[in-house]
Amino acid sequence: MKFALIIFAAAGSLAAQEFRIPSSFDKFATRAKEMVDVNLDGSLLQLAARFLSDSDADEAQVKKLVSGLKGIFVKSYEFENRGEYTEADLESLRSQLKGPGWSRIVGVRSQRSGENSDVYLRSDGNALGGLVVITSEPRRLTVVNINGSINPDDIRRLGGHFGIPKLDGTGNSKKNRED
Amino acid sequence: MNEFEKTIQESLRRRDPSPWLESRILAAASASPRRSWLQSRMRWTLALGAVVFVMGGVAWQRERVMDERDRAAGQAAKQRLQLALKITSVKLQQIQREVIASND
Repeated sequence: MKFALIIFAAAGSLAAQEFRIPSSFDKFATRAKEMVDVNLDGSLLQLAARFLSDSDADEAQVKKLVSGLKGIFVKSYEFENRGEYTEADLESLRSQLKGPGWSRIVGVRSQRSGENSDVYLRSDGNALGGLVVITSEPRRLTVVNINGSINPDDIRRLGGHFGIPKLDGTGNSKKNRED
Repeated sequence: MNEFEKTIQESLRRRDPSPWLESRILAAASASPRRSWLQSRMRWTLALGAVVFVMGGVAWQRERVMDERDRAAGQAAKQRLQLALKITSVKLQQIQREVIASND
């Protein structure tokens, strides 16, 4: 009985680590001026990987990166007006990331522009098991959820490859780094 | 009775069949089932071949359609993957840039 309870608690703990973009975010689809909604579960990722060439260096790099992933989910909204989303909407995301296994590695707050960014990583033992990026600006909201073995540097390094732009320059707005 | 009538009468006169006619008919009768068996076998073979050909064509076409559908789905998934990685990479680069800027 005790063993069953321990198993049940462990399963609950693991389930708590899973991050999901709440279905309440669907309401933004009608409010947003522009929207990107990408849902790639494991089977779709494997299908996409089959169409990545091994002979092309960029695609081979992406193929390797994707091989350890279970899903990629992106929701990005651009609104006409401010205040289309609330702090409570963001909290519904952040509250999930306070569970075991998750840690916030970067938090950027800008009082001037109202731009906030957070990067969370999930650890599965010694390996990284997931990545969540939340960026919110007065008229923009983006949530990225990558489930699986991932290194943020690998994705960042894709800049300039595979049709992904490489940003340069250091920016000139003053930001307060929290972490 | 003139010459013409004689000719007619002669032509219409009953004649006995030649002595080998019976054997020829019997030979033809015994040979005909074999020929029809061959013909029937040929017909079945041709019909079976036609069925196999049609079924093969249908299967090939079906596979071709499925391949095209898979290819279209795969290319769509690849484009979505590219878009997702693009957004993620850009956001991470922006965050890194902001962190660097805040440290300066």
